[in-house]
Amino acid sequence: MERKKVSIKKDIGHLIGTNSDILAVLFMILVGSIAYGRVFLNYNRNLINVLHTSSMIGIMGIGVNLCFLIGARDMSVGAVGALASMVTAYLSPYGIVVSILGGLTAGLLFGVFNGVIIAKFKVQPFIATLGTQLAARGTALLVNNGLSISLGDKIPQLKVIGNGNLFGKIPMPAVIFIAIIICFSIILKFTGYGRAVYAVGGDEGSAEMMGIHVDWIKISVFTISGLMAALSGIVLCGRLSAGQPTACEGWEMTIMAAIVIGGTPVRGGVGKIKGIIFGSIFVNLITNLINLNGHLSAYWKDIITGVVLLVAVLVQVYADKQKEKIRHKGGSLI
Amino acid sequence: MEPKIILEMKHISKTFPGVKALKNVQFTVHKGEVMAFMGENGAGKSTLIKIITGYYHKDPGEGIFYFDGTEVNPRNTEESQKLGISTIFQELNLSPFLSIAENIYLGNSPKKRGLIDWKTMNVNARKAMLDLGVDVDVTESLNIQSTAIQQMVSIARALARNTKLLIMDEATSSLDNSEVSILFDVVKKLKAKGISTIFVTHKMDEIYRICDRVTIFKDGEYVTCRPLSELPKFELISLMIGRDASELMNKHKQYVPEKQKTEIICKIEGIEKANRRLNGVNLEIHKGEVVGLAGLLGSGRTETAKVIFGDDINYEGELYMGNMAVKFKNPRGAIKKGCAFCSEDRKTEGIFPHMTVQDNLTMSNLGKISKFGLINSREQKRISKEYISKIDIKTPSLMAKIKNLSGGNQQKVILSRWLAMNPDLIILDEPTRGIDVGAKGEIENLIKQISDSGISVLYISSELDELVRGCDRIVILRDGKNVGELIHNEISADAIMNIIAEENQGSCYDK
Amino acid sequence: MTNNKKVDKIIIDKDKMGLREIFIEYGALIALFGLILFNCIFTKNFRSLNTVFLVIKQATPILFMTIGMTFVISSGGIDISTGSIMAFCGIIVSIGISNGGNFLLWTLIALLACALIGAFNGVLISKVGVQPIILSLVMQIVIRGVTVLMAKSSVFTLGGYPEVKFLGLYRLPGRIPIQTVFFIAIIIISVFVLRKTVLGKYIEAMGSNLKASRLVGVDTVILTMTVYIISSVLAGTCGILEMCRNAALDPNELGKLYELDAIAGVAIGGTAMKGGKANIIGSIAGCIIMVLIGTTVNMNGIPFATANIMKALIIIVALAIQYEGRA
Repeated sequence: MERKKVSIKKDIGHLIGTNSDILAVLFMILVGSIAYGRVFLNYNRNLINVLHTSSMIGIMGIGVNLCFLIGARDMSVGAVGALASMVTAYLSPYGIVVSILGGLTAGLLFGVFNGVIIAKFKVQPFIATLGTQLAARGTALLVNNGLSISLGDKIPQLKVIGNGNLFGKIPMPAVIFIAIIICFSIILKFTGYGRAVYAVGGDEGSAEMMGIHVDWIKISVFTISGLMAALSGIVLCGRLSAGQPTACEGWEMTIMAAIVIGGTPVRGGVGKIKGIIFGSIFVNLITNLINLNGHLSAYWKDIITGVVLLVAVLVQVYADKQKEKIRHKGGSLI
Repeated sequence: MEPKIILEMKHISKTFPGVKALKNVQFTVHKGEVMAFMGENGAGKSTLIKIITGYYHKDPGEGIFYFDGTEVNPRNTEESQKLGISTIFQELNLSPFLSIAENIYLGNSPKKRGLIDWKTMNVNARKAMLDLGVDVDVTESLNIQSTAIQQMVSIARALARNTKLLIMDEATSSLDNSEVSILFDVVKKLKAKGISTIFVTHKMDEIYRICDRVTIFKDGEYVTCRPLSELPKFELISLMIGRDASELMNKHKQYVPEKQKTEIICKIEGIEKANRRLNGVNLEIHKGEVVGLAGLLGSGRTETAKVIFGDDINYEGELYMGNMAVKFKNPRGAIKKGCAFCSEDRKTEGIFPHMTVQDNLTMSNLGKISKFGLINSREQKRISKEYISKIDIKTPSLMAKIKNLSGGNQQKVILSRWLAMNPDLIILDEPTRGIDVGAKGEIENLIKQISDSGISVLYISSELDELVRGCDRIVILRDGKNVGELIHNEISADAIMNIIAEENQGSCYDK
Repeated sequence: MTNNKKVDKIIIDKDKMGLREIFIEYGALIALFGLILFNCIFTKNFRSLNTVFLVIKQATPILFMTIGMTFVISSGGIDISTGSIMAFCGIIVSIGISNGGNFLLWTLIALLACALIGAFNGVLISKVGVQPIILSLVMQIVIRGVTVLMAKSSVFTLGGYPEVKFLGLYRLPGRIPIQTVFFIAIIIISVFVLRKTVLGKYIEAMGSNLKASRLVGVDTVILTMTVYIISSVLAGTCGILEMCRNAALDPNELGKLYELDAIAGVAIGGTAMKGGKANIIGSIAGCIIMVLIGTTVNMNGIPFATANIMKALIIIVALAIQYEGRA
C-alpha cells in the first residue's frame, strides 16, 4: 500500500542514532589517545582496567536496562550490590558455593520484594526502589556494624572471578558480562517472555488486552534486576577481596547513563540490551580519562557523566517530539 | 432456510451500583452476517460488548448467552478470545513499538526448537496481510503505519486466532473514505468465510454500505433489530434518538430576532486539523445567543470546542474573539478572554478526584475570589452554596470529596464551576450527560437565565430535544464540516435529523 | 426554592471518612503519638524539656526540606536533588563569608542560586518533558560535584562567625533554641500556603489531574517552576540551618540521604505519592517521626543502620496502604 520514502539525511541520522554507543566510545578513545597517548592506549595497564569496571557496572546495568524496557527505574541496585558483597564475604568461611548463593539470595529477595510492591500495590517504581535502597543499605551496614569484611584467604576462586583474566587478556567479569548479555539477547528476541517485556513497556493496557500477565512480567523484571545487582556485588567482592557496605554508591546514575547512551530510551518499549556494552565502556572511559589526568578531582566524573545523561535524555525527548509531529501531519497515527 | 446463529443473548441485564446499564436486552447475530449495533451515548452498547468479551459479567441468574451453539459465560477477556470472539477498538489495543508481524502473532508465535521463528512469522504475517489486500513490510513497527493498516493488523491478529465473531468498536472513526473502503472489502471477505461481524458505529452511511441488519439500543434497553434493506435512514435515526412521549418535545425556544443583530463575540473560520477530524469549520456566535452544535459522534463538535478554548493549538484557520484575531497558547488565555469550557469527559478532564466539592466548584474562580493569593473562603462557601441549591447538587457536605459523589452530581459541580465564572462565552459539551430528567430541567432553566443575562452559549449535545428547546440557532456538523444551519422556526428535531441524514457531502444551508 | 433549608443544614459537617482514609489522613499523627509514648515509657532520660529542644534543633532543618518535598510530590513530581542543593547553598555562603563577605548578602545570593536551579528543573520537566526522577537524579550528582569542586574539597569550619553561632546555638530566654522560631514559622507559613492560598489549591489540582488543571486555567509551566523553586529554596535554607547548627560544612557529606528522609516523612504523612492531596500536617508529623526514630535508636544503643531499615519499611508500608485497588 504505502511505501515510506527515506531521504539521505534521515538515513544518516538513523545510522548515528542506532550506533550512538559505538560512536561515543570511538570518540572517547580518540580523545584519550590525543590527550594521553600511550599511557591511555596501553592495554595491559589501562584499558584492561576499563574493561574490568565496565563489566561490573554492566552486569548490574543489565537488570536496570530490563527495567527501562518496561519504563521503570530501579534505584536500589547499588545498595543491593553492596549488600550482596557483604553477604558473600560474611559467608566466605563456608565455601564458594554457599557464599555466592547467599549473595544471590539477597538480591533475589529484594528483587521480588520490589516487584511485588510495584506490581501488586501499584507503588511507583522509583519511590519503591528508593525505599528498598535505604533498606538494603541499612542491612549491608548491619552485617558487620558498618565495617568491611575482608576475604582474607578464603574462597580464592572468587578473587579469580573478580580479578582474573581469561588467557591473560580478557577480564573474567567481562566474560561473565558478555555471557549474560548473550543470554538475555536471546531471551528478549526469541522467547515469548522477552517479547512480552517489550509489549508491557510499549503499552501496558494493550499488553493486558493481548493476554499478557503484566503483573508477572513486572515482578520478574525487578527480580532479575535484583539478581544482576547481587551478581555484580559478588564479582566486586572478588575484585576487592572484601565485602564493603559502602560499595556501589552512586552507581545508579552511571548505569542510567550507560543505558541511555546504549540506545534504550527512557520511556520503554524499545531497546537492545547489547547497547549497554558500549554504553558502559563509554561511561567508564570518562572516569578513566579523568583519573589519568591526576589533577582533576574525581567529582568531575560525576558532573560530566550527569551532563552526558541529561543531554542524551534531551536528545531522546526531542527525537520523540519530532516523530509525533510527523505522525500528526500524515494523519497516520493514534 | 433458517440462518445459523453464532451469538444469541436474551434477557440480559447488567447492574452497577446505583445504575442499571442494561435492562433485559436481547441481541442475536447470524453466522456470516454483518450486524450494525447502534445507539447514542448511554444506550448500553459498550456494556453489552464488554459482557460478550468477558470484561464484565451479566447479572447472575438471568438471561441466556449462547455462542456457536453452547451456553457460555466468559469470565475474562482471555476466555472469550479462546471461544473465538475478537474485538477491534478505535484505540487500537496493539503494541505500538512491536512490528506488524509480531503484533499479529504475539502470544501465538510460530516456534522452532522452543525459540520464536521470526522468518516463518514474517512470512506468515505477510501472507495474512496480503490475504486482507494489504501490501506492507511486516517488519516495520506498528506505530508508523496509517490507522487503516493498524486496523488491518488487528483483524489479521483476530483471524490468526480462529475468530468466529469479530467485533469492530468504532473502528472507522479515524479513517478516511478510501481507507474505509479497504476495511469493508476485508469485512466482505470475512463474511464469505462465514465469520460474523458486529459493527458498532455512529456513521450511518457506512452501515448502509456494509451491514445486513441493525440492532438499536436506547437508554439501556433493546429497541429493535431490523434488516437495513427495510429500514430507511430517517426511521433509523428516530429509533435511535427516540421520540420521548413528553410534551417537551414540541417545545420551542422563543424566537428573538434581536439576538442575531448583537455583536459577534466569537468567530472561527476554516478550521482544519491535520488528522482530518476537522475539515473546514466555520462558526459565529453573537452576544447572548445560544448556538447549538449538532451532529453525530465523530462529527467534530468537541474538537471545534477545544480549538476555541485554546486546548488544541494544532490547527489551521482563524479564531476571533470580539474583533480581534487570537491564537491561544493554552486554555488560560481563553479563560482570560472570557471563555469557559465544560468538558464532556469529566473523569479525565473535569474533576479533581480527591479535592472537595467546594474546591472543585470554585477552581476556575480562584483568581477572582482571592486577594494577593489569599482565598476568600467565605466567598468560596457562598458560591458553592449558591450553586448547590441552584441546581440541586446532592452532596453530604461542601467538604466531601468529589469522587464520592454520583456521576450526575459530579457533572453538576463541574457545570457550576464554569457558570460561576460569569464568562462571556460558555461552551457546554454534553452538559446533561448522566443527569436525571428532573435535574435536566433545572440546568436548562439555568442556561436560559445566563443567556438572557448576556452570556453566549455554545451548546454541544447529542440530545436533539435539548437543542431544540434551548437554542436560538443550530449549526450541524458532519465529518468535521458544516453541513447545515437552522434558525428560529426552522428549528425542530426533524429538521436536524434531516440534515444529519442527508446523503450529499456538500454544504446545504437551509436558510 | 424549598431546597435551601436542607442545604444549609447539611453543609456544616466535615466529610465522613472510611477507616482507611482516617488512617491515611491522621496516621502520621497517631504514629507520632505512639512513638513519643513508647519513648516516654521505655527510653531513659526521654521525658525532659531537653529532649524536646534536642528534637526541635535536629528536626528544623530537615523539616524545611520535608515541606518543600511535600509541595513537589503533591504537584505530581519528585526532587531527589535536595540533599545536594543543601550543600550547594551552604558552600556558597561559606565561601562568601570566609572571604569577608556579609552573611545576609551571601545567604540571599545562595538562595537565589537555588531558585535558579529550581526554575531550571521546572522548565525541563514541564516544558521539555524530562522525567522528574531522572532529572533530579542527575542534578543530585552534578550539583554535589559542583559543590565539592567549589569548596576545593575542604571542610569549612564556621564556628567563628557570629551569624553562624547565632543561628546555630543561640538560646532564647528559657533555653529555647533559636531553631524553634524557624520551626514554628515554617509550619505556620506552609500550612497557610497549602490550605488557604490559590497557589496551594493549584498545586493540588495539578497533581490531582494535570489535564483538568490546564483546562481551568492553571499555567502548568509556571506552576511547575514555582514548585521546584520552592523545593530548592527550602532545601537551601535547610542547608544553611544545618551548617549553622554544626558550625561546620563538609561539602562531601552534608545532605547525603536527607532527601530520603524527606520523602519518607511525606509518604508517612499521607500526601498522595502520585500527586494530589497534600497532607502538610502529616508531613510535619512524619518528619518528626523520622527524627525521633534516629533519636530513639541513639538513646537506646541500637545500631544506626537499623534506623534506616525501619525508615525504609515504614515508607513502604505507608505507600502500600495508599493503594486504592484497581482504578
